[in-house]
Amino acid sequence: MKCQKCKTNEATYHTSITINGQTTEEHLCAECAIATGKMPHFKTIDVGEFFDSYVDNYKKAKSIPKAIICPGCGMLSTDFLSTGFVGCSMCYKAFENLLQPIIKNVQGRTKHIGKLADKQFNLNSSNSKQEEIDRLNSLLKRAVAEERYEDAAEYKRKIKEINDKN
Amino acid sequence: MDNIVVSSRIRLARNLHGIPYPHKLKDERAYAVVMKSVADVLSPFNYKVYATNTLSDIDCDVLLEKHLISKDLILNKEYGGVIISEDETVSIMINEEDHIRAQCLFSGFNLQKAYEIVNKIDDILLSKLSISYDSELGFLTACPTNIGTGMRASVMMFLPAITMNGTVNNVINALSKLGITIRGVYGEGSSADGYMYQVSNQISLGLTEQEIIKNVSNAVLKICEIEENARRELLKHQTDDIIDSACRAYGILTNAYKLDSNEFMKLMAKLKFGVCLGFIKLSNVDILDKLIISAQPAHLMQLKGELIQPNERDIFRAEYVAGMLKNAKI
Repeated sequence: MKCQKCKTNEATYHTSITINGQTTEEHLCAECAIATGKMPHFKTIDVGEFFDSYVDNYKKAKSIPKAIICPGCGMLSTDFLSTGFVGCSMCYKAFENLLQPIIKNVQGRTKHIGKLADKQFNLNSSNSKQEEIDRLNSLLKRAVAEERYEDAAEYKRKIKEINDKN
Repeated sequence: MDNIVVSSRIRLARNLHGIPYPHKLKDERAYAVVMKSVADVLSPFNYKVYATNTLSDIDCDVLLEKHLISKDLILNKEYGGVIISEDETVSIMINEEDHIRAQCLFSGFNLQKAYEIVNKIDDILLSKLSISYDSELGFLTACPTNIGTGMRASVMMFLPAITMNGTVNNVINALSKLGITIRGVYGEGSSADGYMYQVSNQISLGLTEQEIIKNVSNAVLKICEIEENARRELLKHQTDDIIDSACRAYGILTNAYKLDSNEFMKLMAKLKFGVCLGFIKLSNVDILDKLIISAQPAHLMQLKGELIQPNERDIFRAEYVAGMLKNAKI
């Protein structure tokens, strides 16, 4: 069956909507379904290419941010950019600002909605409060030592936020 | 769907919390903590536990050829391990890219069954071990491409018709827009010498496990429909050529003195197509898929019981394949 919109490609996106007994059917190809916003667009990302462009953008930026060190495994954020791998689970928090746009681009979404391991199994989430406070304190000390006062203020704010929640 | 879907696999990636990921874990903790913890938790299953540094190169390659381990695990042989069920449907790699990569592999179209089995194993690991998990990002993995569910659902498909008529590239492009990848299994790059492709999900975060299975399943069903249509079209105009190609493949496979891996794969694909379409009768069609694995280099050397050079191996392959196919012909 041909796409109802372009009448050229094979229709692969089929919907049937019934309202008050009236049924309307729509048959579109993938391109038209994405173009009309009916279907989300999954970008095929070659991870290597993405990291290369990310590093290039960093180089073009006026100020290149200093490498962040993960307090869990000692991995540098610059190592992550060149390998595409993080060193441990704590890297996800340590490199949060760096990773967020990458995760958004690679995965298209940023929130897990699958198997709920923390609720089902009472797992030690890497978000456990004390661990998080220890991690932020470690990052705060380093930021102060390196005179990154804006970063230090941000870590201090996050620690206060966690403590206020208790 | 018969004679198109070859096998289905579900893989879950997990890591232990508080320990560096395998590429940064090159010390005694690799076995003393990771391998031991997982082996202990799974001991009631009586699975076979192997530290890869105790396996010979041939043993490792046999496991690779059976799709029970990956090349990356062999590269980390010194610190890696694998735990395998007796029927070889379940295989859990230790210290490959992640601490734990549990997979269930079935022949045919069986994604849901494969998921149920590997999910039970995952439940046991989660109940006994401190697995790395974040309420926002889900299961954490060494590469951000695997976070969230940590799940890769894959199906191996035999697609001779859409390879021959060139429409496989259109299918690849259309699927990539839906978050599904399809790549040739054998051959260089994305080429598919054996007409064999692997279809799997690209995205692991922001979808439930069932949604991933449904998306991959829907893609597989659609590809089956396209392949079946393409086979019917080919049969309208090229039946004689297809029969001839399959018969010639059978002729060479049963009479050659030497068969190298590349030629073997190409001929097996042509023969299998002829068998699928009913032009060549074999007592057992599954024998072809089994033979594709058992005539791989490491399997042959294990069968012969010794390391053999490529030339001698190609001669042994020709003899082995000829014997197996002649026995299977009706």
